[in-house]
Amino acid sequence: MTFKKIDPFFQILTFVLIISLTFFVSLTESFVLALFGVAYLFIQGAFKPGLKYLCVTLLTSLLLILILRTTNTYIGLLGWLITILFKLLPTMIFGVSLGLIPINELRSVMASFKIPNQLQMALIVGLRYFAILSDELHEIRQARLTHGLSFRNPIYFRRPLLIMDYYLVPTLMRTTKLIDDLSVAAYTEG
Amino acid sequence: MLKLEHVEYLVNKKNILSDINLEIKDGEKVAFIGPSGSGKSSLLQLINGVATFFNEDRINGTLSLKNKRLSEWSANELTKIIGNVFQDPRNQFFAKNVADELTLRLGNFLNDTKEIQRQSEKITADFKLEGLLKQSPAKLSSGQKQSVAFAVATSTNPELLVMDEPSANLDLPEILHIRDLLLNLPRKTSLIIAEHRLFYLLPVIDRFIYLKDGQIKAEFTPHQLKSLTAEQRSKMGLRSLEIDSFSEIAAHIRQTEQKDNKLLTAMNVSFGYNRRQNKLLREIGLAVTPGESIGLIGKNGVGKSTFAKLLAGLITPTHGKIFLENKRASRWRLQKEVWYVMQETTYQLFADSVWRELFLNLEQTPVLTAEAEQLLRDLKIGHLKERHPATLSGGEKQRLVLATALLHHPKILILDEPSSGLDQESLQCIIRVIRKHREQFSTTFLTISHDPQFLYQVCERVLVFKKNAQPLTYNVQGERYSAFF
Repeated sequence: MTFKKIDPFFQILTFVLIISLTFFVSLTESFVLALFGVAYLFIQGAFKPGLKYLCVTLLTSLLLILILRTTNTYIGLLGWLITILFKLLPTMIFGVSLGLIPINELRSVMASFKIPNQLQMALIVGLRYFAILSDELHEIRQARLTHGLSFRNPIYFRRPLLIMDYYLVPTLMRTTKLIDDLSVAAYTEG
Repeated sequence: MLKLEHVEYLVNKKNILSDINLEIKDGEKVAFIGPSGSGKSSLLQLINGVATFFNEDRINGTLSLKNKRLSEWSANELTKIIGNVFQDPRNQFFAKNVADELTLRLGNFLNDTKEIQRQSEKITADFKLEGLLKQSPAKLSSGQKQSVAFAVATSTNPELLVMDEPSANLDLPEILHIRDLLLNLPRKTSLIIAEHRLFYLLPVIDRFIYLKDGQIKAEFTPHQLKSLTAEQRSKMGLRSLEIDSFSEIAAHIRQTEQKDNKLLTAMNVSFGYNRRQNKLLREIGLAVTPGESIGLIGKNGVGKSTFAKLLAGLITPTHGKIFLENKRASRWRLQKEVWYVMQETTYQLFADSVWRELFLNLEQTPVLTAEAEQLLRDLKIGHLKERHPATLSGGEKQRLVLATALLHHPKILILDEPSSGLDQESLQCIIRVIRKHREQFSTTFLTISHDPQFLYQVCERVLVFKKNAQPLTYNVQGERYSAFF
């Protein structure tokens, strides 16, 4: 099966457009943009992330519909957080799509836009950060399992604060280190 | 090429490096050696400009590259002169696949697409990367990542190559391959390398610079280094200079009695990360008796760590069964009984102090408290009880994760490259503790390592992994490590 390659120039333009639209569109329009992004991924043969983001889009939409019907303050607060996520969803999906472009092609398109070299590198590092972060989260999950801490372990329910230790601490530590490492690597790349 | 005069480097108000005076000539090949925490990596960061760029106000003294102060060079200019290979190359990559990574670097220097392509093909052939070009750097094994990082760094023929422990996770053939590549570096290319493994550097290096406590304490030619006795080297925290010099040390390894009761049995275990690709492991079998110590060796990327993760219940085999004490073991049970110490130990540190790390998921009984105290003393990290794990050095983190694992008394302990990046003293600490736990608690150890010095001293047999084949078993005694390959 051959997949369509979307022109990197067009992809960057779309990405910029989607970012600008994020703050101006309604929730229904965000939903349409997210679906458009998912279709974008499918067209390029990225079925796994496409399917993942389709599920996220549908789930968050469903949650939002349910939350909008309730009058509970706390659930309303949760709805506020989900609304932010939902608004950012199209940008995230189109960002993933941008990540599918080979770095060299992306760079040459950015060069044709006369984007300075340092800024090109910063954008590349930004894209790279999210890709590595997902690998890091996978490793952290495995590290938790080495301590026997899956949700089947009753200790989670006896000492819920452990969740904080085993989820938040390593995630924060690794993301900070990741930023340091990537900055150093970007520096050594000029 | 490079001159450092009275250089000092402060981190957290502490002198990491002090009074460094050093001159490196064009084309000279220099190695920084010394125990963990002696300042080797910090000195490399000063030289490649990273420390100058991020923390210039914490540096005193004069650093000059090609007769120009280092701080006056822009990052872009330095990239053209210096090629870098980091200790942990994971985050050094930016592209989606290895081929892109090569062309990304080349594209910084060359404009002609054909020339980029030609140079990329040459580097691919030189570094034997043909099979990896389409793969994502993130999915490569540690050794493969290091080879790719080396290839990328040298692709533009830098005048100075800076390498921080490039052999840390490499297998023996790859180390020898790296040695050959270093030997073939152009004469005008200067090399600065920080290393614990010295055996492969002897024919490459012109001058060994010994660092301790952030200061240059001595300099050696290869001949002078060779003339040091094993005792002198060990006292200085330096590792052996030969690959196969450990047979005598191994002589007193306790041989486990052959027992009928199997602790762990893997039957026809297969696994593949991707359905579309060939399976990484095919119908692997292994039987382990209580108290045994087995080394898992083989080329990078053959699936040693994957096999270990299967045994630890971190991933599920696509085919085959794993039995624990003759009962089919679920992933959940394996996670409880088999403890896996990851290669990158920072993932396994969760608490805000060393002491809390030990008891994070464990009740602090008087017996365990005494045992924990003893373990920390044995591993020489007793004085760090109140420290935050993130502030420990690589070797100290390694020992802390090992201590945590041992305190939980798992039936089987899997160690993934426990000796990478360790100096002689830290290595001996770990070896002593492993031996003690085998004697006292009959803990079974499975150790993945490329380090002969380590394997010879802790394992009684090794399992040699080969691609798409059943692993072969050898007894360590009487065998030369290099013969396993």
